[in-house]
Amino acid sequence: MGRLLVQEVARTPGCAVGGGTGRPGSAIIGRDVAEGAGMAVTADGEALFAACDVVIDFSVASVAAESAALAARHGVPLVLGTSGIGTEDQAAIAAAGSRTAIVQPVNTSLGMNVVFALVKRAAAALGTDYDIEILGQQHRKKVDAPSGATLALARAAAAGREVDLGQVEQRGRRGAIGPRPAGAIGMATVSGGDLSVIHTVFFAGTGERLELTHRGTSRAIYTRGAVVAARWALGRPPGLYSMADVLGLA
Amino acid sequence: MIARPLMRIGVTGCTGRMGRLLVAEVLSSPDCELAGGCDRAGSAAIGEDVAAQAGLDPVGLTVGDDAEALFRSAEVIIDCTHPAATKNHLELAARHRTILVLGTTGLESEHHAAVDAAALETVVVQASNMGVGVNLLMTLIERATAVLGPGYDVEITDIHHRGKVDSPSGTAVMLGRLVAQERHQDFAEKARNVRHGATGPRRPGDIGFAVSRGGDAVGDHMVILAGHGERIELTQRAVSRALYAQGGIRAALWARDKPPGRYSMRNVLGFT
Repeated sequence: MGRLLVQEVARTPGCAVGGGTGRPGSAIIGRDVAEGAGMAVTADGEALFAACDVVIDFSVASVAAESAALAARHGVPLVLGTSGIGTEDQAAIAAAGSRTAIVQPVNTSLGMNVVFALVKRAAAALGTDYDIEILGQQHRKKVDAPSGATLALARAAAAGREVDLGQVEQRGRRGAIGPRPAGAIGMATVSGGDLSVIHTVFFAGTGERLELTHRGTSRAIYTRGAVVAARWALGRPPGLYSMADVLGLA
Repeated sequence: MIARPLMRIGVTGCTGRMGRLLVAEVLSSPDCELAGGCDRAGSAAIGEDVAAQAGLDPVGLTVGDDAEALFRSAEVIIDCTHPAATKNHLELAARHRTILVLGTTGLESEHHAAVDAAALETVVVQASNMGVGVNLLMTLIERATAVLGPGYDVEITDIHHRGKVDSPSGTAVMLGRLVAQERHQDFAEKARNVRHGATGPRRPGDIGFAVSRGGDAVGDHMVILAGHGERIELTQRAVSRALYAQGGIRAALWARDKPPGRYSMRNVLGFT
């Protein structure tokens, strides 16, 4: 993802790559950040935040809190696209958000964020006569399920219905589980193939069904969205922002 | 509290596919009573029992061929017939101040002008599609089109039963018009109904339609918004026509207290 982000920044008019870091001891330390950029990958986060107008971090959850602290110290906006951040680290990120602008997208694709907004709207309008089910179709190499997008879609549906997802979600159905509880939000995952990632939210009523689908065929949708978020964050007052804020969908 | 009198609903084309469903819905709704039903003059069903025609127990109302009498006696008419009858029905509604729920599809601009004229005198709910799902879909499409912008190509597909005689469906056209309106485009210029042979590349801003017909499909519509590296597909699949009849009753009950004017199903459902 980091390499794709570097390419995205490099080809975006008005943007330039200010530097890049890697894990200490990683083989990429010392290599060119981007071809012809004339700068090497370092392990020095401090120097990166000192040198850049805005930083994009899509690396790993274990460094997210540290990135946020560096962003706060240097007053540099941060786009933090890492998933799987623990509660304690999230509290530290929120604290850093009081000192600089931090955009924390669940998913940076424009299309997926539009679908989040539409799902919330549809769930609010339709009520519980329409059963909500979410199907994630992911590539064979993905190692966890349901996907972050599936969960985010479920949260959007729950928000539209004004219910707590934890109280109504159903996952991993198998065997004699009895009839579907009223108001449940179901999630299922299929896995296989390569790149294409497909998410569908079903609103299944009596005599009709609505389906809202997002098909991702290129990871460029995520890097493009990350750069959009970075440009939006520049000059923004301190705060913890979502992609919906960036895209005006909130 | 004084109970409101039942709403007296008349059904035009009461022996047609939608008409029979409407008759059944009216008879099963606790808030309505059937004022009667009519069919075109010369129909074999004239004089038969309206409910029996819908496959139900007779109710003692016979199918008439006098639309004017029906408009005079009913509080509201639900009309899902043919564009050829639309202007007459609008005039009758205006003359007798009868509320009209107009679900007929295939309306042209002359019919829409007639709707506007009748709406000066009475309440007209004009809805090419009276289902909850499609009307919500319209709201979602407006939102998606506005946010995604011109970088996302819009295509619309419709799948209907083998007996359907017009293409694209009225709903598909309505969805296309909505997209054009949201993008400030001229729909007639942007609609691309047929692609065949060496069409050349897609013209920017086109709204493409693809139509499939077969089996007993009640009606599926999908709006595709296709960008670089991603695609959004918003789909409504209907498996029962009863939901349209239910929408018609809902519109009729909603229209009861409204001042004269033209209304949409989205007004009825509160989807803005």
